[in-house]
Amino acid sequence: MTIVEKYRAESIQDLIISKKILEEINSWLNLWREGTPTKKALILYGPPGTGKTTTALVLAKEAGVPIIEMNASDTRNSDWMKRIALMASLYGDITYSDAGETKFNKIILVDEADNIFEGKSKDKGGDSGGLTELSRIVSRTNNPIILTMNDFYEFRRKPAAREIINNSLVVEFRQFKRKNDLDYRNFRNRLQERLSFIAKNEGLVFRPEITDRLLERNRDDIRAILNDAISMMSYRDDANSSAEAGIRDAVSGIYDVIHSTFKGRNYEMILSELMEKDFTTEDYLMWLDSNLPSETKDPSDMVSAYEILALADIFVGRVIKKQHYAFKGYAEEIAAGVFTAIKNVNDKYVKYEFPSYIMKMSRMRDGREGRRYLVSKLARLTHSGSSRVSSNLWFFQHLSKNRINLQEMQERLNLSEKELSILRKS
Amino acid sequence: MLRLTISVKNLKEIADLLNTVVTEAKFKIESGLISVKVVDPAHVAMVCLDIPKEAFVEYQIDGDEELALDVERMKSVIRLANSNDQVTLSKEKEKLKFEINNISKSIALLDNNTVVTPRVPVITSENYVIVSKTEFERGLRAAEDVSDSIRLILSSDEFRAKSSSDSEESEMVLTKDMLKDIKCASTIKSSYPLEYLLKLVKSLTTSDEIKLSFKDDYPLNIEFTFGQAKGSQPGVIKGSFLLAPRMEQ
Repeated sequence: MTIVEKYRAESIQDLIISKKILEEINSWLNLWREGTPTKKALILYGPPGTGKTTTALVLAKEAGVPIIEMNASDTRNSDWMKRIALMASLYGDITYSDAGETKFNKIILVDEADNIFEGKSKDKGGDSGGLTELSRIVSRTNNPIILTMNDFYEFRRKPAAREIINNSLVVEFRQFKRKNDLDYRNFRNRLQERLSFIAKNEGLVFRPEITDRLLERNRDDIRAILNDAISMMSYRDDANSSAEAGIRDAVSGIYDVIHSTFKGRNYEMILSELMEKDFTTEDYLMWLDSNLPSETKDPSDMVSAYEILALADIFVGRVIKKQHYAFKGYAEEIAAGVFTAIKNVNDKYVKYEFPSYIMKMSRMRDGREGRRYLVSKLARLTHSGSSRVSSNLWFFQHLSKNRINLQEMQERLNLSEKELSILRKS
Repeated sequence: MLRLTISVKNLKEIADLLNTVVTEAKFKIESGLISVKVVDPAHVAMVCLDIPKEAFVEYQIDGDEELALDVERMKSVIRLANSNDQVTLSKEKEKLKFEINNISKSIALLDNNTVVTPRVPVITSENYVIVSKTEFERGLRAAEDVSDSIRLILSSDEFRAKSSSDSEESEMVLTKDMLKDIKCASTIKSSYPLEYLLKLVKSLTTSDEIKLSFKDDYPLNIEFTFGQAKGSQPGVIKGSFLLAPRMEQ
């Protein structure tokens, strides 16, 4: 057992969690005590290590009910969803003896729900059908369900996610917004308390002055803070060697990197953050692209900043064409310099937006697929290439305005609803 | 030294019963009997078995101990045997050795800490019905494909098993004279998962009577006996199958 597991919070008092989040979660669970709420599931999203799973475990413990877990290491295709989550959601809990005292018998935890990878076909394996099944379960459940995830935006784009979200209370697991606000100070105090407790229990020495360094490095990732803190504590006798020794490389998330690209104005710093990034160069460019307008006050700044970004984009294009992926770094280094074009610095807070391009693409995918199938069917029928049919699609659309023609096409091509709707559109 | 010899029939029935709800089980071995309790991952179905010494041909143990096993692995070993064979099990370090006639095969034991024995709930009910397994199985089969759950209704003079969906319906009615025994003061009803009930009756091959007791929206307790002792005395192993009720909105 690692130290982090050993000191996993066991009661609400031990949780290092902001009051606001705790209140939101508690009032959701209270609704379950009175009956079946409309928001049957709870989505907790936030960076790793901030205590989402721990909170779910503590909630079950405090409510005195068993918890049924479906973890990322389990198979979560539709069969397993039915066998575990569906059964658990409709029936009582055989190990729970006080049935009737509360309206629910157990809590179902679907951990890392953004990692359920729903494949397209049944035989491909993976978690195919898992999310679709989960959405059905969430709308019918008689027991509370908690879903945790890191990337809510990624999850939102998955098939069937919409219905899950509509039936869920969504809570962001961020313990504080910025340094030195009230939540931050509370977080810092609670953390310090917990760390001294652990140190005392483990016979180590904890120096409070390292707290700020830990927070700087790991933000609200409690798991990382604990790991770092413990390795720093073991160097207890030597004041100088302690601080840097145990710090791991922190992964930089896209929000942080975008923030320092625009606001940091320190090129070396941006590059070093890019070294640890957990996203692709293309993502980086797209994020810069969609957020650049809100970070520039002066139109001429915007123009020159876009010049730089455009250059980086050309490089990415070439890299992909030639498949010299190792050269992507150059595009990144060019893009990292966008701030040099911004003379008139925007010092206001900007809420970075998710690139709309990516969202549009995923929304369009369904439509594009229907079109592709329609075109390939027409191509087979007319003995022509699909690109020719695609550019002459207007002709078939015009043809289908005649009811008899449409009927014949429908019979010969066995068109699906989606394909029909594309054909009818003109 | 741990050395147990048992008929393939008995062992197979034990393994099949456990396998209706789990793939791993922990056996608690004591001087007079071996007991095992398992619960499915959704906490809906539980199986508890008490296998007395008499169910074995040979029962040699050193003292109390626990053995955690992969039930599916065990079933695949049993498949090597004929139905009239005997199996001898012996523990060798972290392995369990199966000897069937001229074949021997060892499977790895699981870490006792990873297989959790569930807490058995305290459930009591005055109402019960004793039915023939074949009769009950017919009622369950009628409900198959109609719905995922079956509603059991017990009154002072009849036992009904009903299942319905938007478009289909099935019902089995067993009147007092068709039942072995019935005791129920007022009408009670509760729904249970059909799939588990079907799995249970399918794996119970050597028992013919089962006792069902429940209350309104309350866990169902099915008690049964099965297996054969050395002197071919039937029903030597005692078991119970617990099912959580469907929660009504």
